[in-house]
Amino acid sequence: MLVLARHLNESIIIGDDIEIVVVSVQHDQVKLGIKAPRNISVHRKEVYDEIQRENRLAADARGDLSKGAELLKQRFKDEKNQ
Amino acid sequence: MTTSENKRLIKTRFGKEVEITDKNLVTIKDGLLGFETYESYAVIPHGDESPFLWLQSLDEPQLAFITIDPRIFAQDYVPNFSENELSSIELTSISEAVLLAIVVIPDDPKLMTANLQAPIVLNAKNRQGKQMISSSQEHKVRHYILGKNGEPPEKK
Repeated sequence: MLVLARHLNESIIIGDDIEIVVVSVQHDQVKLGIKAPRNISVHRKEVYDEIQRENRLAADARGDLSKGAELLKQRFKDEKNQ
Repeated sequence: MTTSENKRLIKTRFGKEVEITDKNLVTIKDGLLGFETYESYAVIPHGDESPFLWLQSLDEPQLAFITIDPRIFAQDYVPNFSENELSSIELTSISEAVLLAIVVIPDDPKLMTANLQAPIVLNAKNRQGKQMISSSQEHKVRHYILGKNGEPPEKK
């Protein structure tokens, strides 16, 4: 991994068009500003990982879909009757 | 092409071949997270009486996801995406989008959840979609469909 030291308000460039600026530094938290083209999505890594995990779980889950549909229908019925 | 329908049979994860037409097709740009190489899917209703839709990969018969229109159980649900992100599938506003939440049905179906943090956002006009991550903190990856406000349902 490439490691670069940067001061406040300094930045790095990735490729031609992605810029990451150090916006503030407080204790152990760093705020970064990211300038990137619209087709590049930027996310916190832990959120990205969690969604990836959940997609895999969804692809592998083999619970009873018809039962699920029935339960949901029943719930709407119950709500109507309340 | 003489017919707009273009009927054909595809193999599915759920055990049978299903007839689809062009109307069923969607392209998920960049695929789903973790499944980036699969972009071509068919949206197939689970059944007349069911709120669920299969999102079946056209390239890998064993790859399919269960999805649902999240507004069926979360009427006020409006995820938050940047204009840039919406424009990647040629939408200008979230109000134009068709939303599908990916569902996990575990062994106990009462505990089924829908991913409201990262729904599939579809443009019905060009049949393009993308899994987008909502910037609203309130939308959960595991929203319990049968619980109150997405919390796990109470045990009886």
